[in-house]
Amino acid sequence: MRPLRLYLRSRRVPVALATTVTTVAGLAWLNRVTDHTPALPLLAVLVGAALTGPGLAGDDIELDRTAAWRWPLWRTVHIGAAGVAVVAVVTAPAVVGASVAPLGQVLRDAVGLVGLVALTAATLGAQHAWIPPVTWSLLALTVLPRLWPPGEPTLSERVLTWMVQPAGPAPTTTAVTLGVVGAIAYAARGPRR
Amino acid sequence: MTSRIVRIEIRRSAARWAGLLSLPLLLFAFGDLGRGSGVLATGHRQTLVLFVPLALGVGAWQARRDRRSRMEELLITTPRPAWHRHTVTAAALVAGVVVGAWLVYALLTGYITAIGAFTSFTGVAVFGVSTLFLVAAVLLGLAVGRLAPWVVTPPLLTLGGFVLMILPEAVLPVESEAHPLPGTRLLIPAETGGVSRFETLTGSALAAQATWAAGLAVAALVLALASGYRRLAAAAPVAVSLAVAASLLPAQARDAVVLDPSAIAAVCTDDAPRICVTAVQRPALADLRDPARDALRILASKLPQAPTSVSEAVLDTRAGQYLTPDRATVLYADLPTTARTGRIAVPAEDLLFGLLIGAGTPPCPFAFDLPRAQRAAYDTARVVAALWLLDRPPSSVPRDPYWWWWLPDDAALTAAYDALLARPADEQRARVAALRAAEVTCVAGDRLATLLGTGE
Repeated sequence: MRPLRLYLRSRRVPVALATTVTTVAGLAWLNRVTDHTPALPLLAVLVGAALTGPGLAGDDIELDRTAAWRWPLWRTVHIGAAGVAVVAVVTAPAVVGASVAPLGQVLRDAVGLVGLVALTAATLGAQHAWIPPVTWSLLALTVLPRLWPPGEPTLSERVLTWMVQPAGPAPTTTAVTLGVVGAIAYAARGPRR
Repeated sequence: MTSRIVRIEIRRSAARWAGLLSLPLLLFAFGDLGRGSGVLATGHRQTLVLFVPLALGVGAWQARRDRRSRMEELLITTPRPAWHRHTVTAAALVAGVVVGAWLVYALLTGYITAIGAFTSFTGVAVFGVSTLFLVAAVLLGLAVGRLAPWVVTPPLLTLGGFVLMILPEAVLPVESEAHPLPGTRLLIPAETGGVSRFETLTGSALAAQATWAAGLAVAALVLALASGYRRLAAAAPVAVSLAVAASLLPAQARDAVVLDPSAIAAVCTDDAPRICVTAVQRPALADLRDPARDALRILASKLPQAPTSVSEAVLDTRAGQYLTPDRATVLYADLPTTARTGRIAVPAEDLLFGLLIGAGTPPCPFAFDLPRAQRAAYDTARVVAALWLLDRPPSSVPRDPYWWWWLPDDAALTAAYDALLARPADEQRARVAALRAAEVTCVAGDRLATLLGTGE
């Protein structure tokens, strides 16, 4: 247990978790008082995914790599556990009857966004990991849908604004692809130095 | 020396990213540019919902630079006061935001000019105030990032800012006749007060918003640069600007919106009969000219009292009437235009049909309050009049769901059309003329009964 405890502390997981829980609780409360604002469920998942980012790298990446650990395994478990934690925290308000969003939607958004965070950590660095998912989601919530004419969304719209689409094969496939590619890239390469 | 430091800072800070902030306006505005530069400015204002959170994030990200590169302790040892360095950073970020926003504005204005749509200077003031809000946001991000230099601050501030921007819409009541919006609503950055493409904000409303944005920017600057108890001074600009802004704003938000004279200026054909559109819709004039003249000719040949000119239908909601208010001699044209190019979006024959609805009259104000069934009967009467004028069967009405979604269904149209055609030719003409007369004066009454002669 001791290595795990030290690992979690070195990655500042307790702080991230506490912040996520507090913020999601606030958003769940807002969701209740504002009578279900459509953007809030996605924002709740987004908070969780964004706060996962900094923990994907330790304070000294070079030093970490010298450790005689099976890093790919640790990283796989880390990113998987992060996804599970995000889903758990965002769906937790349902226990007290303040459900934020259906489980399916939370699951899809969490897989896609945590995957994107992992992918960014592997390619641009853990410090920047929150930027693509947050920017992409905010764009999708505001101006991105205007690229397409109103009406039934096309395939490209469903893929590019997957996080704000209703459940369907195209958004789910996009989310799963992001999740798998992100997890594999991060597990194999680790955070960018 | 200072300018050289600022130049270096612009290159090495997040100023580039601040400059890219307004780029998504391209996505937002591209579909609307045929409607002119006023729409561009108000579109940017509404899109502050996106830009303000991103600006907060960029500012907070920049503020963490010293800690991110583990320089804090080293920098404390320098004799130069910290606010010297921080001022340069703030200047670089502000320069990035302002230059980026205005570059995008210039680019899109260039496009508007290239497609021959409406450009005016009234949009510049609205856009200027939006830029001030962006500057305030990026400085506020810088201040928060400096007060809380944690790794979670930038993402949390971005998302929190977005929640704050969408919250007013979710929490505050929507506008209605009984509950007009208070003028203070215009203090919300992304609120435009429902400005249409023909309208703009009054000078005092813009001044109020500019004061409020400047107050926020100054307060954020104080928070970002000062240290210790001097930070409390930030409350002063907020309070002062809020007081000044509140005194400049009208009691009701709708009083802050006025028709933009340059936008509603008439652009007319040179030769008679005169066909006029507003300056905003100038690209549509070429497409409107021939169908509009066909409509005038048909009305003159078939009805005793026909209009003599065509003018775009722009409802001045405050005055409760159309611009160029003369329902008897002016044919008001509702222009179904493509937002991207400003050209007419429907085929000429559909446009002609649209012009002849109600025998060449716009719907009366009372029709908007009718219950659903009566409104359908009202629309049926007006559409059947157009069909009679065109000698076309009910099956010929356009069924495009975007522009003609409100048309009554075929069964109702066919029944009314057959009932009208069952009358002698002279009576048909008299009935349609009676409908037109009633619609011109807007007396209350059952128009379908007037058209079919069943009411008397």
